[in-house]
Amino acid sequence: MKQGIPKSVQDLLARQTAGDEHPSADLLNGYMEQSLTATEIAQVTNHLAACGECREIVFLASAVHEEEVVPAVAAAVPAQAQQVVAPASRRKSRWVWWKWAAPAVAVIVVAAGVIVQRERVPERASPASNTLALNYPAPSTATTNRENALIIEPPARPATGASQATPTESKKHPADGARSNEKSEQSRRIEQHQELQRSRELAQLSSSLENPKPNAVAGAVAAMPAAPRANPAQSLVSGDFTGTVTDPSGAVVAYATVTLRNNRTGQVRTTTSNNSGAYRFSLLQPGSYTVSATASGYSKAETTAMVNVGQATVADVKLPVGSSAQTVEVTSAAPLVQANQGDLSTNFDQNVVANAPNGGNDLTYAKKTAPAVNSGTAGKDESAPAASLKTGLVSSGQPTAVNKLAKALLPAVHWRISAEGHLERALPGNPWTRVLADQPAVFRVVATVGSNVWAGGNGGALFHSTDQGESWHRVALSLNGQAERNAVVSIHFDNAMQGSISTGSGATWVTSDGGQTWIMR
Amino acid sequence: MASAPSSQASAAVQAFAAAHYAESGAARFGIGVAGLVTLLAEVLTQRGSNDEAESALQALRLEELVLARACVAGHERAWDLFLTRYRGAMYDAAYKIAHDETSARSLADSLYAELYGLSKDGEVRASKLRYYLGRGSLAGWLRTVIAQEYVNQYRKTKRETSLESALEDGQQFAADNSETPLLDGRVEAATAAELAAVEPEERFLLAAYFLDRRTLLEISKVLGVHESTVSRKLERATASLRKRIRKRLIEAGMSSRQADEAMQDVDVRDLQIRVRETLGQDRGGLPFYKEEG
Repeated sequence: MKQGIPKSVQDLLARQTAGDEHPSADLLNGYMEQSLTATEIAQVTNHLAACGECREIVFLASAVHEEEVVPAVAAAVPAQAQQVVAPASRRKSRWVWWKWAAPAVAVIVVAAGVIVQRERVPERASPASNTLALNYPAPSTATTNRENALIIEPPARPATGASQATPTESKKHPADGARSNEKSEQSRRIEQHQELQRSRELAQLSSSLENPKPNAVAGAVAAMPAAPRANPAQSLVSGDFTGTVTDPSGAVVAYATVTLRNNRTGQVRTTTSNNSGAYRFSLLQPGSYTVSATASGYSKAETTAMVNVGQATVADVKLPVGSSAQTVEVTSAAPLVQANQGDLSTNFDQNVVANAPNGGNDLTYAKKTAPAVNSGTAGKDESAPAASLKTGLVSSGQPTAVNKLAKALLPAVHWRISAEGHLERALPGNPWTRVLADQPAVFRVVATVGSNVWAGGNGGALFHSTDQGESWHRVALSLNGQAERNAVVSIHFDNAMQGSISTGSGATWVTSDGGQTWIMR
Repeated sequence: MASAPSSQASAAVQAFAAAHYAESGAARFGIGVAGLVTLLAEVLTQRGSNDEAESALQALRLEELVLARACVAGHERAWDLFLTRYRGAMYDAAYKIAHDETSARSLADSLYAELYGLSKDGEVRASKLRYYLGRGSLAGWLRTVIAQEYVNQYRKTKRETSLESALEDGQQFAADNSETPLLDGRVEAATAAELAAVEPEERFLLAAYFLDRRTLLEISKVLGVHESTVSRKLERATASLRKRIRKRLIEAGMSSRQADEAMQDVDVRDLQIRVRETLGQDRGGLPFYKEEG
């Protein structure tokens, strides 16, 4: 070909005429798609060799052909197409097999070599051999991994195609300026074509997998293109989908149900937006997805977006306000502590008392088996009279459930300091009434803990009531016999036992026994 | 009365139709199994290759064939489906072939009318789709038909070239370069004999590459093989042809040197002129779509 053909041959080629009539479009197309019978192929080839016009037609049509004009068709009739394509591509398949056989064999040889090497030196440091094993997977792994096959394959092929095609042509048509100018363009097209053809061959290989042929050069190679499907979660082949669910005003909607549907496969994944209204789906196959969000009180909203490899597609969903549907969601679960019931009791029958593990035969042990009851002794805890157990065993002064319970059971009594410095109380349904009216003190602060009421004022006045103000006693704060004379400006109790007060001088008095003793800090 | 071979063929067709009825999609166009058998028998008759009926059936694009035939029969749903699938592709292909919007549109429109098959007087519809015989894909067939139509249109307009444009092209000043090189009779005879012995596929390759000046890539697309394969085949064909002609010339009494001289490559630029004139196929040496550029 380097020398071309003699001029006489060109003359004769040009002068030859096709005696028969032009083949139909169906035949020409079948020729291009390699789906003709042997007789038909011979007929068309014979004609094409002599008919410049029909050559023109096939070249025109095949130039378009390469670009896969109707991708939708393949998707619409996959079964049919595959079945028909299989016999049609018989002519090409043997060549394709051989082409894939070489890199596959190379992979197997390399892997086998590594394995042999590993077996020869088993005593070598194990981390090193592990690394080797990772870099060069065992034959079965290697042949089922398209990534490997692809990495090995490409360098060999473009070199072949480019080096053979370009020099030949430049020698053949040195005077054709336009063509030589197109050389770079052409080499680009060659690369594109090779890419395309490679992916087609992969597809073809994978379809021929489903009907494995006995003459397959390397059966192991057959698994190559099928493998990647099994591993969709690799970070290299996946993308994320994220966004925020908002209402029409732009405020985020928390706990909205977000559903993501893969538009190609129909696969659905569901999640819930978090406190900031954000949602995220990870490790998604690239493609088109539809995300829809629903939340109570809102209508459903949908949006569609593409997921690209290695990228997080952001798709915010704005929920329109629901028109009429009103859904009240009630979540029911047994509360740990009954706050609306005052007569809680736990009964211990004779069996429990007799048989429960009870070191020292102490009856108070039994109470520990009842929920929300801590250790403590009767009488010491005056904060929760309503929760007193029948046995007289009561909860401790810790902020336990029992304390909360006690608080919840108390009638709502309100306290305030009037503008004149009077301490006032309002019982439910009653007006404010002055308490401790007999005391000359000017009150500045009042605090309640359960049924305990603490009121403080000028001159170090501090009063304590354990029964919501029914009865009072004065607390005298003194240090080394010297009474506190500064005004009590703040009172704070964490619970009935532990609390602190501050005075106008900045001193802080602390109690941990419900006010029986005070320590100055 | 059916003859023995045709009844055999119809038995094969019947078995094939029964086995592939579901996937043919014939049911959605109201075609029963019997209808499918008739359809297939018609197609095989049109193809005229009874001896290879079995393999022809196996390679058949059944679903697309049934769709095309349903369109020919004027089935509305079939037309809807056909248009959904192929309309865009048709215009796309027309654009890629014609390389300009206007002619692409007129190309596709005229083909569309032919496909729909409306006769001028509104008589019987004769859709062009009836010529689709399911050898290749329907999309490929459409592309080929568009390419045919394009070549036809080109030829038509070429014939209608006005005198003015011919003058503008400077044709009256064109030198008479029709002088035929003095070929030794022996060379011509040897070449003719050897070329006749060349396989059709190789002749196709030689013509496409050396006459039509197609690239290896273009040829590889038509043949469905890799460029390097085309390159190898061409190399082999060229070398062996030269060798055999030389041998024949020597056998005819030439010395080695004479034979080499007789076969000496001419300047490629001369060759182009020569090729263009001798093609005799009513077109220039360049492919149509390259002439614009």
